[in-house]
Amino acid sequence: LGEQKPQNLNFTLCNDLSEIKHIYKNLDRFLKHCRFSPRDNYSINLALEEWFINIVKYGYGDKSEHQIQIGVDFRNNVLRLIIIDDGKPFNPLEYPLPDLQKPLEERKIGGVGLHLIQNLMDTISYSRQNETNILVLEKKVTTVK
Amino acid sequence: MNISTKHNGNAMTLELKGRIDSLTSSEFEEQIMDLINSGETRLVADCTQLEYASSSALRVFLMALKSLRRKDGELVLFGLQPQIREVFDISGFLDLFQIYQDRDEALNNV
Repeated sequence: LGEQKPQNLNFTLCNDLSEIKHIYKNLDRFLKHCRFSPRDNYSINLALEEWFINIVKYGYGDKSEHQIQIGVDFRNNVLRLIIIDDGKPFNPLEYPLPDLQKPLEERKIGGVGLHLIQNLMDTISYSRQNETNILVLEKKVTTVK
Repeated sequence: MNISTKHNGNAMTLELKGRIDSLTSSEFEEQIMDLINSGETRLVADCTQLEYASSSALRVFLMALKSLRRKDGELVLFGLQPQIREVFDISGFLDLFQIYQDRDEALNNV
């Protein structure tokens, strides 16, 4: 098996929860084409959803429509997600991890999404440029026949 | 996402199918909380056909479990696909939930 041809996909979402279905539709075709393992597909879809939801819920202080740009790129066995939004500055690397050892009654779900991203992706880089948040997530993936 | 419910003795089984994401989780929340509020205390989640669950699905499972435990009830799960089990693991949910291999084991322990 040689190196796969580089693949990429770009799309834009509005800051609305209902856009989730477009994440799935857009990614699904791309991921099927790339033939990643079900586990990798799941991780990539989940990471994108969790970050998107975070932007929609906490990113904006106004009621206006905003565009969130998604780039997906696959080359040299590395899948890269690039997500750009013009919301409030938010660096996930500075966000404290949830305490996952607490007993049931004290357990809260907040922060679990970011924790999932950190565990399922290999690298996370964040930068703030031109009043936008730029998140780059990378994962080394395995392809199946 | 599609949810169907089935009585098994004194337990209620929810068959979860498809994807529970941030969009569909509100419907999942409504259905499971309706069951709890109508007095069901023994719930079994059949996850064999659950293909995708995001943190919003985890939030609903957690809410249902907390609510049931306050009433001396229980929610057990079975048939989790490996990648969903991994998400439960990362989130620290394997310590909170009883998760079984198959339906019989789940029904015996709910």
